[in-house]
Amino acid sequence: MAFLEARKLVKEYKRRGVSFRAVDDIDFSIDTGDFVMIEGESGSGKTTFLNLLTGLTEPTSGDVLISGKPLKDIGDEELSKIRNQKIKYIPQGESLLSALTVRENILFPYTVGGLEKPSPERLLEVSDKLGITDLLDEYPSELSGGEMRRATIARAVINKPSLIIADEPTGSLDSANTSRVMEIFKNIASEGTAVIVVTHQKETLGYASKVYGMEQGSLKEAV
Amino acid sequence: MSAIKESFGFGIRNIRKRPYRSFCLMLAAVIGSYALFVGLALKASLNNGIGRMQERMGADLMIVPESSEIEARNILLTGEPEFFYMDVSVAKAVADIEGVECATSQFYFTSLSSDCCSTRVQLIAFDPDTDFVINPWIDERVTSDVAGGSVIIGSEVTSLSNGKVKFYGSEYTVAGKLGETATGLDHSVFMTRDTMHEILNDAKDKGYQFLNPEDDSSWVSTVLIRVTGDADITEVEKEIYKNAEGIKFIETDKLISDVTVKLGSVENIINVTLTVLLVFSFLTMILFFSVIFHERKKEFAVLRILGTSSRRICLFSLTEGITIGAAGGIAGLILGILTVFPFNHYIENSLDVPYLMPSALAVILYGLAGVLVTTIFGSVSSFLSTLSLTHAETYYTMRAGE
Repeated sequence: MAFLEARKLVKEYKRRGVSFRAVDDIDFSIDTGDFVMIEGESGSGKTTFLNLLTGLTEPTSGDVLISGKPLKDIGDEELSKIRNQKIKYIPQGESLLSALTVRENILFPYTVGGLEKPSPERLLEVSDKLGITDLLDEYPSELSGGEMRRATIARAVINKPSLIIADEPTGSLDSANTSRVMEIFKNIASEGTAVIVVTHQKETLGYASKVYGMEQGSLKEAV
Repeated sequence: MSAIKESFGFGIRNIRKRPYRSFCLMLAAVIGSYALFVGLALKASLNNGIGRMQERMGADLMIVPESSEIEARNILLTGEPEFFYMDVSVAKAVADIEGVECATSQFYFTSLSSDCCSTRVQLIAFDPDTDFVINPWIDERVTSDVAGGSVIIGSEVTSLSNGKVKFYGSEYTVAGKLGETATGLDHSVFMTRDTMHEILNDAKDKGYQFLNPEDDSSWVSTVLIRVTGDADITEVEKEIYKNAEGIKFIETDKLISDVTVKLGSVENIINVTLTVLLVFSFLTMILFFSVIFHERKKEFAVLRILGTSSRRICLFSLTEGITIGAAGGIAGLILGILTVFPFNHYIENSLDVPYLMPSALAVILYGLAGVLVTTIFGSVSSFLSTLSLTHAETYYTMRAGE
């Protein structure tokens, strides 16, 4: 049984009264240790697909299953716990909480999840790898776009979750930092975490164990 | 418990990080709490005042010279020092009238606000043998006897450091102090006619002549009457008219009902103002919270992505609402205290009706009510503003917040 599975997943939207499928009948699964990358043009439905996988939006039809259990059967409290502890989602754009420092942002999931906080050594290890150790006590408003992005990635990887879903995580990074982040994803996948990355940067596809292409809502494995 | 502690911490961080918005929200709470505290304290003071006035009036009927009704009302209601006189025969005419249970006369004159006197107050000479108005309300008796040059002072009259009061150059021992009456009697000094005679002589020596002191026993300012339980006041008045001329009756019930009518309109103004300010405070808080939370849509979506349940997000926003409501409420209360207490006398004089501050316990309760109401306003408005955000799908909230 795959850790995460999508069955006949469909998401329809209406634009000017006409329905269209942003996600069109997708079957997909990912298991521990898989590093999957999805590429596709803007508007091809990648972000909608990721939001369906994390339960942040509901499918028009079809199911998403986590460890065999349909998301639609999971209540808000339990689903929140899953997002807090097992599935880490890195959305597009900036997603740090402005009232908290970088350190507090990275540790915030532990605050709401009630889990034991990671050791200071683990925090330093992750922040060192992402080059943000000197920024831990800064507020998001004092960071550049790339620094914020790396802080967001640190927040996702620090507790070695079961699944990381990242929507264009390296979009605002230079090539050195892009490589750094991809190495981190590759390493964390080798330690057993499943990773799904959506990207426009074709040069990063080589890090993945499996690559998919998305076009007009359909997902196809690249040969 | 830890969830509440963490939520509170996060709420405080958000408030501190957005000082201008927090200040504006708090201002709405300040207005609500201030209005409630001041409004309740004013209403209680007015009701206390009329209640105490009713309780302490003592007489059912007051006879004054025909042309001095306004002055007599001033003495009773505002404590404005006045003097007027009528022939002592009026007092004698009343004594045997059917329906009169007891009667006593008083003589009014004033002190001055110059070096010769402690302060400008109403001086009232009364007859201890027939009095039924002053003696029952002596709150603090310093010496046992009001005779022999001693006086009784109203609750608002302050004595000299040696415990005496000075009128027209001579000092008089304070025999007792009246409890608060919420009437002009609080600003008056009471004495026997012998002491009055001494003061009138001193006043004459200093060039102030109210009446010829040699002749003062021929005059009174008012005759106070208590009628028997079954007597018809109008009939009593008619009987007195038969024996006395140039007089006017002031019925204390009518005086109180006049004051009550005036009090009613003051109270209506307070009620309307209070309601308007409370509604304004609540609506402003709802509006501010919904605008602020609308602008923070992306933050709420991020919280959901990080695994914060809808319930916990409501708790976060509730702590912000409670903190802002309570802090604004306390600030409003402090502002209210700084208004009501230092300006107590100014308010009393402006309203021109009996005014008596409620007890410390009641004041504390009004303060707590103000803080509680704005805390509820804050929590309800923040909760309502969060509900729509937590019920929408996170994906849409995130996109709407970008």
